[in-house]
Amino acid sequence: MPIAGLTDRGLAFPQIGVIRKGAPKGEKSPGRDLTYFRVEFDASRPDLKEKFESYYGPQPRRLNVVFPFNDFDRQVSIWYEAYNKGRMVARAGTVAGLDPARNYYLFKADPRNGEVLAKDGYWLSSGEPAEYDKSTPEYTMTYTGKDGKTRQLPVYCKPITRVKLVIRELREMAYVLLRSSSIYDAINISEQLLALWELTGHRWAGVPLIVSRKPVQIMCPDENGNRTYREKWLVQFQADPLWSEQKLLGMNAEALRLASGVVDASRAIAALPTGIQADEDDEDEDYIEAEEPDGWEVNAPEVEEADEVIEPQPVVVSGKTNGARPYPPEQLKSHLFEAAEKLPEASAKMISEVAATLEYIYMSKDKRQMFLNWLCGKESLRETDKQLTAALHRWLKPQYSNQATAYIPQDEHAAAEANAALEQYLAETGQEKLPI
Amino acid sequence: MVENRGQKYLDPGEASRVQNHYVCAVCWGHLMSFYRVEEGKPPYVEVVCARAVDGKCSGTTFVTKAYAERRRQESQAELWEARANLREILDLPQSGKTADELIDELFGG
Ligand SMILES: [Zn+2]
Repeated sequence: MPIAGLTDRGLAFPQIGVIRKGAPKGEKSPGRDLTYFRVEFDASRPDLKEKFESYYGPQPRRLNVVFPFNDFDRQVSIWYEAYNKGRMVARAGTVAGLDPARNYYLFKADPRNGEVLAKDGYWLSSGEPAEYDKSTPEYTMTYTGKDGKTRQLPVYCKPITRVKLVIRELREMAYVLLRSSSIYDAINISEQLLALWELTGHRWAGVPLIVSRKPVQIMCPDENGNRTYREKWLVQFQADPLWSEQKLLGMNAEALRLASGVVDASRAIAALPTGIQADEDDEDEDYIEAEEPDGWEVNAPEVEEADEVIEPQPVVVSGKTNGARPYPPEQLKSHLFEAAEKLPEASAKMISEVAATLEYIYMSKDKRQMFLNWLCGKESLRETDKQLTAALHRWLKPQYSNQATAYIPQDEHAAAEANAALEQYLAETGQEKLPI
Repeated sequence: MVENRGQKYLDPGEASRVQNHYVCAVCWGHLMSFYRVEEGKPPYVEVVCARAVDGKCSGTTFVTKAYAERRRQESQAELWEARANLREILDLPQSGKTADELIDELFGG
């Protein structure tokens, strides 16, 4: 659905659209998370949608983009934010001059009357630093459930990531805003962009980039300390392989390392935002934390938005998944061995394709060896049973990509499954977790 | 029959503060208030984007006037920077303007 009014702001460098990760919100429920980008353009420019879809189709997973600005803060923002009745009531992050390891309120208003309580890191009343504590709700909303009972719902800040992107094929001097409220995106994006920021010598504007959706297994330990996983389609930024072969090697390895690993939820919840300066109470899109006036009858709101997981409801890995992909590590292993029994031996070409694809997934010879060690106790494909290698080939579906100049798994779950398997191997052998 | 989709306030004072200090989060245009009475519910004031009233804007939330004004002021410099950074990769035609003209544009003539 197009957005009406976006280009009426009177901006010289206008925003012409929004890139979202979730389906449209229902009347009282959040939109479910999608595996592709949902791109909406301003209603007054139907040509943009037409042009965009002629390049990307209706459900793109990968976009060719470029950053318009070199200034980090102008380009990217990640803040904790809370809204009430369509207005921002809190924004928090790090503040220059205060403890860089803590977050402070850049803005905080009384949700009842809009009175500003804190600004730029300090309480207006006392002049003391206004430290932000993510475990303290910003306010409590009252709602009446379908059962007629009134309940109190604490409303907390959520990490909101915004990145301004110019879509290359549109050839427009205008940007679209990529927005995510996922804490995992906040962490991944900030790490990927910091790496990119360094790689480009702080001059990333104009560097061709690819932004894509990527399935990642989120590891969330449960109460008993069991490892549990849940799939999330995160946002991944990487430099376009065509940009520079020299840069490509460094960047792709880094981007892949950052984006394909398992995200440790406990770490995810602890950190954020990263030292990004903020200004005042600017909200730049229609993010709603609706509160109905007291006494109104509304349907119980969903506490958790589809694309944001503050406290994930984990999926137990050791339990049955009814055969649904991606397979947890043990299931992957047993499927591979079952398949191996029925397949002819892999050819030399297939063996090298499997090796190249695992190399692409892990970007590390050591990790490839660890994966094989986990699978069959061997460290190289030369030693690995050729029927098992044939099963690996069938699983990964290697295909050469001219654009990436590498063998890439065509199976959409293979990379996530391979990373989950490696994670398990590292855990079993008491080694460090994968860096995210 | 309630058609407009804005924010509802039971306190008319709060609604008027919002109308005075905020603009629509999508089009940054001014806001309007409607006094509403619906059966079985307390009366309330709905604040909506003035453009949304006739369907020209899909905004339902608000940003401060100060924010919108500051972003407008920044935007000319942003265009200047983006043009310089992206002309090559977007293969855009040269503007045909002289350096003086561009500087005038940047600083508002
Ligand atoms: Zn509007």
